Amino acid sequence: MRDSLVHVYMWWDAHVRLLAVKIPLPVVMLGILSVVPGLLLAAAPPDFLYHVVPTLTRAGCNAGVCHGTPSGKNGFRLSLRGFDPRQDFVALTREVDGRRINRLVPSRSLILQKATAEIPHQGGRRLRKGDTGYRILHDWIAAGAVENRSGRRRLKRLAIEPAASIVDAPGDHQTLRVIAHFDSGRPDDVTDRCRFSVTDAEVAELGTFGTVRKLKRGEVTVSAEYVGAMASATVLFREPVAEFSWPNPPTVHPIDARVFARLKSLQIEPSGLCDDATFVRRVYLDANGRLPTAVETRAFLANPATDKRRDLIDRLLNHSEFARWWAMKWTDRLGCNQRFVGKWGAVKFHSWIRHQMAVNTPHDDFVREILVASGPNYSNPPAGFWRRLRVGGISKMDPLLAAEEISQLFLGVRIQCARCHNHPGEHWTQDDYYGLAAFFPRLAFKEGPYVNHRYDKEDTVYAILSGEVTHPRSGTVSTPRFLGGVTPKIASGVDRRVAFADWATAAENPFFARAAVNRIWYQLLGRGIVEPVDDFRSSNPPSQPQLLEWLTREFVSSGFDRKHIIRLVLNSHTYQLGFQPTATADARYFSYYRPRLLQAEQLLDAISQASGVPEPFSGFPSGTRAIQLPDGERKHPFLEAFGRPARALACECERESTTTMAQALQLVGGKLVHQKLVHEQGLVAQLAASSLSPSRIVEELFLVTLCRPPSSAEQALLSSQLKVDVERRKLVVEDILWNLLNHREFLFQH
Amino acid sequence: MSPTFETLATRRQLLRTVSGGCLGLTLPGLLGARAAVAASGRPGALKTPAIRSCIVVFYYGGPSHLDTFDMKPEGPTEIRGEFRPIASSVPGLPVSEHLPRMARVMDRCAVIRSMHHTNRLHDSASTESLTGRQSPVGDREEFAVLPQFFPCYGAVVSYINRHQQLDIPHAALPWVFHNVVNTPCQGGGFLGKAFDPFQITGDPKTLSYRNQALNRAEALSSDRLSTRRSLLDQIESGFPESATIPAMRELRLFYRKAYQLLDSRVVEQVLAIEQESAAIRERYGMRKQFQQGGGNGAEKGYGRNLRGQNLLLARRLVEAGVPFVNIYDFKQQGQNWDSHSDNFNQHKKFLLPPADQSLSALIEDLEKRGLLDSTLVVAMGEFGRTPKINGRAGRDHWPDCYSIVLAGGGVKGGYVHGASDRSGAYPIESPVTPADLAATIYWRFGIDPHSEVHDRTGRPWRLADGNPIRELFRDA
Repeated sequence: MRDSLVHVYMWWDAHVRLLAVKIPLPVVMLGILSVVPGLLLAAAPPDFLYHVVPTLTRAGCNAGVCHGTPSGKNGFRLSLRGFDPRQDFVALTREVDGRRINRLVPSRSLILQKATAEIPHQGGRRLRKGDTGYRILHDWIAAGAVENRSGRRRLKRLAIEPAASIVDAPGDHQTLRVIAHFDSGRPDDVTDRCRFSVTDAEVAELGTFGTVRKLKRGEVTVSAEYVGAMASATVLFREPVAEFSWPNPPTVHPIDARVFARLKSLQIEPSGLCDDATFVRRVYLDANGRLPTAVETRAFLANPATDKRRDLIDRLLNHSEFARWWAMKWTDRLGCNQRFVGKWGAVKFHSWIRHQMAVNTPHDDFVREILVASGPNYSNPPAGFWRRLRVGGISKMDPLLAAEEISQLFLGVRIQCARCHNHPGEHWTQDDYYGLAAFFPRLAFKEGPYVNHRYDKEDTVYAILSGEVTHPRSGTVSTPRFLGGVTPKIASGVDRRVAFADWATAAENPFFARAAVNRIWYQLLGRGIVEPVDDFRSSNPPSQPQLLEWLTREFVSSGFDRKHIIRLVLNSHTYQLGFQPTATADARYFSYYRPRLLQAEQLLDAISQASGVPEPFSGFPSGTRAIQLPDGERKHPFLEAFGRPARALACECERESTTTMAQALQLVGGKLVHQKLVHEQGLVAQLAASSLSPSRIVEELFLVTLCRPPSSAEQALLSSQLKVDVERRKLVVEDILWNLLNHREFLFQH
Repeated sequence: MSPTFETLATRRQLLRTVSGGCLGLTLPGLLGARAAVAASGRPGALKTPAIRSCIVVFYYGGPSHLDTFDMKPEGPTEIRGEFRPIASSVPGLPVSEHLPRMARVMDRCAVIRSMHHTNRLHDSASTESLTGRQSPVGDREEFAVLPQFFPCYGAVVSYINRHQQLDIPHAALPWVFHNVVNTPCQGGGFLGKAFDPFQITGDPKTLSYRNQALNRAEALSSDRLSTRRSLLDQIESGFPESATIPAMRELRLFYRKAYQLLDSRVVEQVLAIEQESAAIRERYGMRKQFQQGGGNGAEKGYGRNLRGQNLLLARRLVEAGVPFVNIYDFKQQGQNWDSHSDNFNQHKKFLLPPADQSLSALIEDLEKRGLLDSTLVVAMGEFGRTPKINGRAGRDHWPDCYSIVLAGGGVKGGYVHGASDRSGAYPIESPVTPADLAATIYWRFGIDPHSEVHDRTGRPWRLADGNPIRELFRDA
């Protein structure tokens, strides 16, 4: 009986919403409407979990800046966005002697008087008398403010209808309905009890009752949150665009077919193919981490073959420098720093990773070997990965840190928030978090021996038979549980990490391959299809969903062949687009190649190579490149200014890509750059002492830096500078090279 | 990191600033910037004018509150220790007999005797003291590199005032302090490297200071720099405007500032502490004035000779318009205020005399120059020391109750905020946390301490979780 009354209430709720959007009502509802609302509501008390808590969330009462903060606000504390309804029930009904509600005169309840700002409320007015939220709270209190935990239906799934829609002008809005599906009974329209958000506030804004209003053309993703469940939908607003025309780019390549189809539907015109000079610089930097030499650039530009780009890609991918460069990306993320893995351990770990890249170990095997690694980390380097995942990097195993880092690094899921509370705005819960962490407590470390040096210490990593993770809310031991809810059977005596690695690296794992191809795409295009690259969640959808799906399938069916995916991407028209955007361009969707600052090590190597003066690194042979340095602990002001990470976090964000004052000072007046310009054996000295004509000198300098011949204007400008006395010639060449090293075309990959 | 709303806003503001003309580190520019800081203070929230600068003198290792500003002369021997209190310029506010110069200026200082937090170890205690929040990894020493999470006070102030485009919004000297690894509380944290301080390095042998990045190559004359600069503008003009991304424009903006910094030599001049008269330098404390020799810590500190000069340099920076200066008194663990043994000799011979001399000098000097009201000076350690003296005549770590000293910036002279119990072990009145200190500093700059910033996961954080201690200030 009670259930059906609740339903009546919900119908009424939905009914008001439907009225507002002028959709004809079912006759049965009209019947209900004719009843005086007060009478109806008195007979149909709202449910605490499904009505009251979402109302608090929607009104913002339990937001992180209000009562949802862990310490509460002015003595009143709610769980963040209602993740702990039990606690909220106690807070509302029992704390401060139950003064927050008044069952006899519900409208005199403190929560209602505060929320309507009838009495002073620091958070201002959150509800108005008579609106749905107010009625829910009021009627719940009037009905006795019961928690009603037993006999409640379980929420199974939330969905937004329509899940994807296109609104063409003159249409300027879309109305969405959010439907909650339960384990029993009929689905429920919960649109006006949801908390909504949009991904791009410049494209659209949220109106009342699930309306999404267009602000300008473009696509948004709308997310709805209801009682811990999430759903999202995309809405594309289009209008005739005068400057949009479709250039019919080739769609033979499977990547291009998907990218261009999407661009076309978004009314975004892609740029044209880049020229050979742009391509050769770009692809050397992406495939081998360095600039092409003048000789290599000349040879490529002079080559008349039509498939020379494909040939060059093959050559670069088979070169030993490929492994050097791609190893750097993994040493960053796997903790290659002597403070964690020991001084020699960093060298060994780095060379192990480089070898995996060189022999193109399938990605699933590569990750698996890391995830189950045991033994002394100097002789089995991947075991070093676990040395960082200890408390402070030195003490005992930290299963929570391990869960966070492994999830972000290999599954692309940031689960950190769920350590303390269910992830706000996402479906990850504390149960997910502690279930994942339960795979990692059973690991121990035998310290030493020390070799020569305080941080030159080998540790032995070994699995043990005991160790658990305790859920902070329930206080009970968490059982290992994969993300997504499956609980594996693990025989006693078996390393739990093996079960995790089996699941994580399986072809059908929904996270693993997807996260890996997105990371490859990010490394080549400077932006993930999901961005940030390691932050997959329903409220952060891929900008090119079909591209991501296809790459994922291709990666799995190729046997997790990293190089295969890299080759595919480099050969695509999409990768080879020009860096000048069209009038309708949008970098999010890869309609052009967006320039980006060279990474710290790349930049230092590029300056060294262009000036002909290698950077010395103590302890390494002359000619060692910065991208080959194994240890994130090495102090180097230039590398640090340009964002080289200490290799202490799994997050890609540890490598900062922001521009800073320190960078400008390095480039404008720094000793490092200066010494490379004035060096007696450097390129400047050689050119200045040579018999080359001014125009040849200028051409040479362009080729070693910007990897293209100068334009006639550039040639004229710089050659004229060189018409000076012999003794001044070297100074002028220094100035010209300095200028080219500071040119945005040099500093930025484009 | 993808551009969040915050970073986009920065860029937009940055661009707006460029078009509107930008400050250089010329002195008029700096003075203009100071006026802007003052004007940005919200008059509604502050009755006294907002401060223009803040100097935090951080006594790393943890000074003994019981032997300095919260003496317990009536306590039992095992608590009160060897020192006697002396009267100060404020009736009823005695200080340690080894702080004779501070005693003279207590009428310009306020003391908080009820500071407390929960971190018993140096790294985590320093982190909470200098960021206003506990380290996300909790109370522990760091033995491996840990990227800083919460921004330090100076970084927050420079972030909030970033639109002012100051050349040096925040300076730190005379080094980055560390226990085993650099203590992760001295930079921009999640706000990014762009908000790391302008790091000034002191040389204890020559008693001089420099900045690594400004140490430009000798051969680069100003003429040469300007030739290069104009040539670069010409050759870059060929780069298509449509392909110019915000980062390129930002970098050019930093170039412009770099040229100005390198060219104007203002910073160089500010750092040239030798321009000060011998009398002033002596007043802050010069080397050889303090007893040296064997022992167990402070007397061996690499930078002990700089301890007075650091405060003098801070005054020069404030005078030049730098809004925030952090001084780290001592560099590393084992050579600082951490007097687990021989507490009294350490304080008497090595720790207190230079601190007494330099802090009192700073207060008097700022006052003489008319800068005291606009400059808040905060002198503190990361915790206090155990009331009960241990078996080695030492005192151990004690974060449960300790004292800090504030001067200038509108504080009520001679005011004592909060109180400790009979043995100095726990606050019995108006307890204060580093979060409250953080809120107080931001509030005095005219910044709402409860405004929000977002970390890299998008999680919102208030600038400070505490509340400003208004009672510390006149007319507030």
